[in-house]
Amino acid sequence: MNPPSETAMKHYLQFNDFTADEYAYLFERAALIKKKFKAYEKHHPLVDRTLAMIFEKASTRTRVSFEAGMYQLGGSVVHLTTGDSQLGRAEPIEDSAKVISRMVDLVMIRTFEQTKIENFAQHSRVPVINGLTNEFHPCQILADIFTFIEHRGSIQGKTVAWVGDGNNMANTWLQAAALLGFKVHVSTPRGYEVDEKLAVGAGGASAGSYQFFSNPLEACQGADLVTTDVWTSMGYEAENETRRLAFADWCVDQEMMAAARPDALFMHCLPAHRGEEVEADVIDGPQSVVWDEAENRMHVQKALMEYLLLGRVA
Amino acid sequence: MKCNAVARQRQQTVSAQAHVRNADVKQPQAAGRSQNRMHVQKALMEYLLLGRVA
Repeated sequence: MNPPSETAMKHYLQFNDFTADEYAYLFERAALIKKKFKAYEKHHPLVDRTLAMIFEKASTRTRVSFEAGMYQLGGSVVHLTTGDSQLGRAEPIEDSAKVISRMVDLVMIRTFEQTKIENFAQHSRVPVINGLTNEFHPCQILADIFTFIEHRGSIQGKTVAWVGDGNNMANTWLQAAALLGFKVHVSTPRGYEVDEKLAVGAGGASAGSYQFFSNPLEACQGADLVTTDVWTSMGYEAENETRRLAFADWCVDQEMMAAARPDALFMHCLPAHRGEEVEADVIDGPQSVVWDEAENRMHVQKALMEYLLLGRVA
Repeated sequence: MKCNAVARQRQQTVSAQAHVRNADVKQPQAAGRSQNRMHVQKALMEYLLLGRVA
């Protein structure tokens, strides 16, 4: 029987929203769902359910993975972009949440401020999923950890090196490390550090799960996974030139990969800019698992949608 | 046996979710009217394509 806390409606707005036990279930479930997909075996637990996808930022992987995933689960999708719906502009977010959540069963939002999605969720009668905000990107880290487990087994006790911007991905890695018992080595240029208070909260519950390095090469020492992201995330394009200068030394190259463990993996949430945050011989090299990582977005999100709507299934 | 288990699971799921779709009573009028756009349009599309159905 499910614990009482799991029977209530849940949202997935940041990585901390689920427990380690729930993640263990999700990873197991995602593996099963992926296996069925590969075998062309129908898995339609969400027949007659509709997912609304609201995009206020551009998307390729998120749209395809959620849309294809929902159809594969037997459900259907409504796709809204900025032209159709500007959260908080055409009408208050609260009103949009009340109306949209009366017509669909699940909502995925990609937007700017985390407060927007939290406000939406507060007034939604159906589960809301964070498809990326300025602060967090939990679905991507869900896919990354699932990918790590597929290739190397449990991530517990391992070390992840984050090289680059202290952005939504870095914030989410910090949350995941505290929750799932691994360590993150973070190296960002000065002025682009992770906001610790935002990432892990003021409670210090994750003390020891992360460490900051000014030198990216040192951050990669002994890492089981080296990962990065673009120098300029969506929404910060105006800072592009300044960032190019600041991030010049934060390019994952063979030297950094050599500093990591011999069997270290490389991940990137994509899109990638070869020659900027990563050299081509790394992202296209034998240690890179970026294509598995991209595909796994769909499988973990299918497990996530199933869980949010049906709870744990046998 | 397997089919029964799937059917049972589906039934439990539908029951568990019924409270979400049926929780209209406590909702403000405006959201209720907006939701009904969907329901009447579903009836309209069905009528235009299939005519009167039993």
